[in-house]
Amino acid sequence: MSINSEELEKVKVLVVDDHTLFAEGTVSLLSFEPRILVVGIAKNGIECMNLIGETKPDVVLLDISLPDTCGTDLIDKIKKVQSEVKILMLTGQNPQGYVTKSISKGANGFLLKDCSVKEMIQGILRVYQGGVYFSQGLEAFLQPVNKNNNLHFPVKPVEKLRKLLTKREIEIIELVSRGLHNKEIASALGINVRTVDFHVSNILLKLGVSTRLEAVLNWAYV
Amino acid sequence: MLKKVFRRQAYYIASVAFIVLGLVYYIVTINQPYIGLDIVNVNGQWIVNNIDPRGDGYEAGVRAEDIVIKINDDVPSNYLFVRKWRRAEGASSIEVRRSNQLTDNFIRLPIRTDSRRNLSEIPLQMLGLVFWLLGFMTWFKRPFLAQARALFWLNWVISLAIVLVPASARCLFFARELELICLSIVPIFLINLISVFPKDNRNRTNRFSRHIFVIMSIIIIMFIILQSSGIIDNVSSLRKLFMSNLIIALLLVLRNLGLLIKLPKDNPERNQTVILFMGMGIGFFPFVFLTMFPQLFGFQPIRYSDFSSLFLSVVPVTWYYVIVNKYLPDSRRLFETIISFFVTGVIISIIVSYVLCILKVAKTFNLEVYLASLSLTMLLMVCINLMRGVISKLLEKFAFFEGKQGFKDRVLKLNESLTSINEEERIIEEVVITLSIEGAFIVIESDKHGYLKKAAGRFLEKPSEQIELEEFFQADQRTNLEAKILPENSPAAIYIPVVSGDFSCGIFLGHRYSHVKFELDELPLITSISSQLAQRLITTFVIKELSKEIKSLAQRSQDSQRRNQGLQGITSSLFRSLEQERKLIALEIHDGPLQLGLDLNRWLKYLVDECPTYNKTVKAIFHMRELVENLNFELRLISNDLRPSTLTDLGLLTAVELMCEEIMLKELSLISLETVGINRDNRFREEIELAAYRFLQEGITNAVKHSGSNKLKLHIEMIESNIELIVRDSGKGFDTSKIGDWPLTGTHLGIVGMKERIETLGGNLLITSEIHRGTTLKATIPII
Repeated sequence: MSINSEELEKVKVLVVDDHTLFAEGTVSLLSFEPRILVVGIAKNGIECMNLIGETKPDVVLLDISLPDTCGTDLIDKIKKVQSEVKILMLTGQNPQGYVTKSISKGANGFLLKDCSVKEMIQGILRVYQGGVYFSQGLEAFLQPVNKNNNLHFPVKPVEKLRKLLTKREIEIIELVSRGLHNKEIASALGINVRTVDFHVSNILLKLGVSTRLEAVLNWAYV
Repeated sequence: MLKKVFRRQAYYIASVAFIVLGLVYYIVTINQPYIGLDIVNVNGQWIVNNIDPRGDGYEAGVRAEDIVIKINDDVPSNYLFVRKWRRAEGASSIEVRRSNQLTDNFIRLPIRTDSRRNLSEIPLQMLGLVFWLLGFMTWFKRPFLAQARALFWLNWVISLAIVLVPASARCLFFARELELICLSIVPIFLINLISVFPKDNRNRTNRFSRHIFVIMSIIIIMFIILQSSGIIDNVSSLRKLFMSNLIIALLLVLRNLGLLIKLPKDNPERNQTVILFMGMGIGFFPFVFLTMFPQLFGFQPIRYSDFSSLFLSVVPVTWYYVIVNKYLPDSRRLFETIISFFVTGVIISIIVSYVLCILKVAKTFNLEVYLASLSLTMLLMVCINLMRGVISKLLEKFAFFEGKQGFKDRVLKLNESLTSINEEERIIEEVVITLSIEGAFIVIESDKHGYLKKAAGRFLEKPSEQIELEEFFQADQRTNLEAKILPENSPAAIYIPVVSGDFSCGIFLGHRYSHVKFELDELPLITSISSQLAQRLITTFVIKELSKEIKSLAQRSQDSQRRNQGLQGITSSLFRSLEQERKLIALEIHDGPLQLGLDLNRWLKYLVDECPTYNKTVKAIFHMRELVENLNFELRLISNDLRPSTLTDLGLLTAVELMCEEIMLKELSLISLETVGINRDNRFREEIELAAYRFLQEGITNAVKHSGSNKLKLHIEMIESNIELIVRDSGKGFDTSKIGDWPLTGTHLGIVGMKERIETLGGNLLITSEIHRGTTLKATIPII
């Protein structure tokens, strides 16, 4: 009974999300995946705790924003009841700040809500197997929040830096250096703000700095 | 201390010495004849140079120019006093030869005393006593006044000299030496006094002249001793020296006093000096008039003219008066009185002497008669004035004019009671009752404060009379502010206008049909009490106005306070509902469109992954994904802007850290955060966290926008039960005096609103800034 054996191996997943539409979407998307079994949907913290007791899930897909509590605060409670349960955080918002807190509380992974189903399945399975999973780019937020304020100067050779940035990124960092804001850059280049945002964070990442001023100062040396 | 005691003792000792000396010499002189001969030696002959007409010698028949042959049956040159002083005192018999007769006429004169003449010396003793007594009293009353002490010693020496005069004239027991010594030191004391009186002017001139007089006195005293012991025999030069010394001293004193007269008229020292001069004038006048005039014009002086010397006591009296009394009457007025008195005397005495001539009482109209009548008239006038003064005092005391006195008392009583009454009606009633008049009516008018009229007594029942009086008041120009007695046909008896500040006031007293009538001489008193009354009424009037104003002000301030409180309530609820609204919208966006967008995006991704179809479709789906992602991005931004979920989820500190990072990504600014006594797990009331977060957000935004500096410092600290938040930049700063205008001009409303918001939480917001020195915003919010 391969089906049975397969069923036995199914990862039991509890979805905790008060956004019915999104939760149901998740369930229906996950239903295409045979290795995963959604055992329930909880709409808030209390339901979540009840369902954990009833269904004994392997992985909890935990939304951060819940009507009665914050997802990060729920981690402790879940761990108290069932310490071996794996928790995969889910957020539709800017995850900055939440990542560190969730991980420090014992969450096993962090997913953005608009990730593809593939990614989600991957995440669930990785976590189930005892690993850690982060949506693309989220590892960056794992740096300690409290940084020293000393300006970060380039350690990489200048030529390398210049090659590091794409043509578009160079265009953008030049505009940033002139003191333009993302919105202004967006309208100057005829692209949308989100793209500029994306480019800027990429530039910062490539230059190995965390603030705009540092990036500009670094670029000035280039 | 001992010195001080001794100093005080000195005055008593001197006084006792004076009294003893005076008494002793007086007793001794009583039965001692006074010959009054002044003889000189001319070519070996003793000739009577001068003879006192009051002396026993004159009585006995000796005349000037007689040649003295023998004194006490011996040659004159053998007689002690002739040798010493060229006097024949103490002689019991004198033999003279009348020189104008051809034949020598020997007259042997038994000298005997005349008790009546002795009586005539009493004024001199009294004068001496007066001098000493006044000096003593001055010192006694003002023992610490330098002038008083100087006056005491001057008067003491003078009185001693005066008291010694009779004894000295008789050459008794060194009385003559003593008197001369006294008189020789008078100038020293005179200079002493004048150098401290009326003002302290111990200048060089006075000091120098004092030294000169001391030397002079020593020379004279030595001269006297030598003369007395018979070593030197030069009485006339002694006398000359002596007289010149005195005259120089007097001239010096006059010069000193004369300088003071030049002072401005309102100077008190000048006043003192003038009074002194007047005293001296009065004091010396009778003496000059009765003793010197007859001698100058060569007629027989009035008998007992010695009494004129009593007038000299006016001089010490004046000195005493001027030194003891601090506040003196105006000398000009005194002068006026004296002049008028004197002129009256002179005129009356002319008439009297003329009348005497016509009536043949006096034989001829000559100077002698005139002087006699003048002195009589003066005496009479002084006596009449004295008597008039005494009688009027007595009358006042025994209250023969009870009516007038009563009126005065009533006015005084009214004056007293006015100060204790505050209500206008009662004040006027009080006036009517205390003055026992039948009506009073008062009008007060002011351009600023309005109009007030009050009536009491009979006027109360008669409005028509009130109107009549009001019309009178309106018609009056109040140029002449004197009380007037109104004509018979007017309802009131008198009218007193009073103008004080911008108030003008009319007071009507008495009633036409009243039996109480005012007298003309009561008007000044009524005027003064009326102006008091008016002042009092005006004061009450103003006080009433003020209290009304104060009350309305208090009411207004209470109202505005209430309104303020209301506004504060509104502000606070506005903030609350604003945040509530934002939260709601943020949630709506987050839970609705954003979730839909996210789901949509996921399905699109699924579509791309699972159903690869035509190229065109893939392109369309890719574009749709782009759009949806943009939509989600925008929605997230809006939601986060409206309500930072990090704040509720992660706490103030984490939220602030995230905000800073966010801002540092978006702006070219470096923000450093410093925390004291607070960690990421500290949670506060939602309101407080929100206010703190918004404050920092607003502060950072402002600094980034306006300061021109790209370095910012945040400081968060827990201090006792407060959370303190500081945003500091090192930018260009601004003028803090303009903060007050912000709410009015509508600039920097973010900070203005923040201030309100923090204040509604019981905290405060402090803004400090200086041009080019940066700006610091400091908020303190209580967390309990």
